[in-house]
Amino acid sequence: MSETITIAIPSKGRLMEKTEELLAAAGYEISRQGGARKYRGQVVGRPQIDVAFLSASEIARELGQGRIHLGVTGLDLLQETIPAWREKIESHAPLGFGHADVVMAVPELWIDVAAMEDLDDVAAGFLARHGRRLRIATKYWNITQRFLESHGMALYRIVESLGATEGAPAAGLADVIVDITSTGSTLKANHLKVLSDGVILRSEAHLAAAARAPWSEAGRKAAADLQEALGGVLAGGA
Amino acid sequence: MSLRPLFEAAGGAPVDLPVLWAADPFLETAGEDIRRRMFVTEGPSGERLALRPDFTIPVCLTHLASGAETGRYFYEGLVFRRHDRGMAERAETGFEVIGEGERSAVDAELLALAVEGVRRTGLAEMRLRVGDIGLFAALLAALDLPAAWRQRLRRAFGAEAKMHALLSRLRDGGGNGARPALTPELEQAAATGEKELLAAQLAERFEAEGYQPFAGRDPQEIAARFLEQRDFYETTTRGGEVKVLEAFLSIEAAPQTLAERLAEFRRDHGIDLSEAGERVTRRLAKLERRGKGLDIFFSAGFGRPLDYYTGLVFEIRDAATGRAAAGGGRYDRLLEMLGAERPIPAAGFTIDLGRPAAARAGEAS
Repeated sequence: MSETITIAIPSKGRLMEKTEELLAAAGYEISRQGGARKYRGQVVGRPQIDVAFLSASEIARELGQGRIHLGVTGLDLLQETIPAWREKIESHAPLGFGHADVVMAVPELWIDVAAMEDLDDVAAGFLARHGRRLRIATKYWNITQRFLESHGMALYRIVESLGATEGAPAAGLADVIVDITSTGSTLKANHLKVLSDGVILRSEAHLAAAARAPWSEAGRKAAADLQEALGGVLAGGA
Repeated sequence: MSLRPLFEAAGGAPVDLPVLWAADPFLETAGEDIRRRMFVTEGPSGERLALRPDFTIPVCLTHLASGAETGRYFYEGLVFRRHDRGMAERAETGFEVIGEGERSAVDAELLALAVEGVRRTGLAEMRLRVGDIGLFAALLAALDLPAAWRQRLRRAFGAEAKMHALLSRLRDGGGNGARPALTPELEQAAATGEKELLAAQLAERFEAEGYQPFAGRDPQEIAARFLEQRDFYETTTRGGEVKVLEAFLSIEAAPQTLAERLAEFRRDHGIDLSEAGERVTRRLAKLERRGKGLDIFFSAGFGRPLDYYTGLVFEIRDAATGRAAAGGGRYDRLLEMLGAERPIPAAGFTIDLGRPAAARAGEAS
């Protein structure tokens, strides 16, 4: 068993910047040998930790499979991407950035629909009225299914959306959506409203540890040190 | 062992069904528990295909394609459903009766056939649980409740958590809370109570917001429902009705005592359900004489929360272990959902034959 552990961090955007900032504040400065475009890196002065730069959803998937030890990614992606995620992620802690909500949103002009109960009423009569089930556009299949199940709602159909989900209702591709939003401005611009009990998940970036990764004793120690250092920074202010 | 002789004696024709089906009919009609477990793949030209997750929908589609008026079908084979653990394939056999209008007689016959079928798979001691939404519908019709509430309660039938939540709300009062604010123009139109005016306002806004002309809900529908939903924004407290509903849903009785329980219910709550009750007992009468090793009970709250189940539902369990051995019911609305031009009565059941023998052998070695 290898003595080193791998931590994956987002390879671009604000998530990457925030993660690197936080790690540096905790005493884990990341160095990219061979320039910013390389996909592997190191932590300065800590040879026992390898760094991999991946997309946030790849990080969730790799954590689920145990091919990396630690990873920084959104709670939404941990829940969506990893089957039986609670068993595959042995611990996860919020990092205080990357806040966004996964929400159920409907056209603002559905003035008769304010809450999930209303949507359930509408879904029940949909097939008889329109010859098809209510369609929900989302990239969050699993989160959506679990949420609707918890509301006892069975009469709907999910249509997969891989981008610009918020445009689906106006384009006639779906009736309602489940999407991620941080400020709500995109929803507003597309004349959509979040149902009063339609916040499915309050997500933010998390540091997660993979249950199935090959953990050595030294690896455990390195991970625990890192988690503690991050915890110290997060508790100490910000 | 095959139930073929039994099913043939009951007038059934064997149907040999493909494993691979167009996914859409399943995605549009099947219940959530089946849909989320389906194996979906792509055909050569990108069409979505599914491994059959059950037999009922394939049998109905085959019946519709045949153009026959009525049909009695039986099948045996594997169905495929994704599970977090364990095998994805199970063997099932079952019997479906499509297009026969003698509902009560068909139901009684199917119950007896299912019991005999399960017995022949080797289960000697079984519990048969029967429910019927007809009784619940009769009760709702007799209660003084706003129409919108009646619809919601009917839909929650068979979904325990949902029913419980609805009843608590009805007991403690409170609608949906404050009605969300509308724009001044819409508010004005809504205040008139005139559906056409409100719908016209909505149509204008939909167009201005760049919506495709109505692929889904249209302004008429939204305006009508908005005006109907006022009930939910007023505090509705119906403690009395909730008591009656809860008393009804807790009724569990053997067929011989059901009439007595319903008479008791009538004494306590002043609502007469004897007619709907008799329809249930008539269907169970034949079975009782088969008695041995069979424990039958009617459970007033038992149903399936899917819109195509319209009457009797039942399940058979191993009396010792509680394992589900068979399930069935009347689904008079399914064929229309699958494309029939008019309602076609239909009912049937499925018996679980467990995991295929080869898979069991593989696990043991």
